[in-house]
Amino acid sequence: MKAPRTIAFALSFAALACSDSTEPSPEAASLVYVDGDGQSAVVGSALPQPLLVRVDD
Amino acid sequence: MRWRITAGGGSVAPTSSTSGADGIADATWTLGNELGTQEAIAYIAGVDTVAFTAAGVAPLEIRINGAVDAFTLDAATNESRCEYTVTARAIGGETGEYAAWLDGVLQWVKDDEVVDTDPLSEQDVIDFWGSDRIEAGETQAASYYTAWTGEFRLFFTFRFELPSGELGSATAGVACEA
Repeated sequence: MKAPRTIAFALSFAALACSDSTEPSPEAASLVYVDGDGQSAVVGSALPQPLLVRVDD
Repeated sequence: MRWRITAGGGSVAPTSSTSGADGIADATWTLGNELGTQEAIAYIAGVDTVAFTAAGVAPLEIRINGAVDAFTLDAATNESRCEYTVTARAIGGETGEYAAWLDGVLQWVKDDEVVDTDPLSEQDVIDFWGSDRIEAGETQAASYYTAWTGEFRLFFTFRFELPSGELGSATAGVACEA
């Protein structure tokens, strides 16, 4: 009777790991700057261009 | 990976994101209310961080001042002539931003009472300033006013539209007195 319970626990843990983007994936090696630094805007407003980074595995 | 503000307040959205097929992740940064440098980071906890900086600038503001350049009064006829300069100053805002003139009002005041009120059309205001907009820096306009009743004061109120779409107004006065 223990086997199904272990499988259920393992599945739920796997699902949690996939949805938690704060944890580094085993392959994630670095972040590389792409664009968006050094802009200016009126205080309280959005920058005209988005911040961009590349995730290198 | 995640995004987070580290200085200056504001917000970044989304706060966490996954990269697309090209490996790129993006976020929109809304600055806080602090002037000057603000900071944000992209990070994967325990792996890597990329820092971003941005400059928060003050919203565009229009100020107007008037000054009398010359005033002459004929004591015999009580006729006067007042030469004046009005200076509009645009402060703050991003490079290239401007306010657009809309219209205005000129009031002639004698002995602290409004003697006459003349509406100024948009074209009047544009003609006065020589432009349909006021950009960063200082703009001056000079003119004169004559009266048959001695000393007086003039008050100008101009309306304009700011880059945000909001309407603003500014008033300047000159004392045409000996």
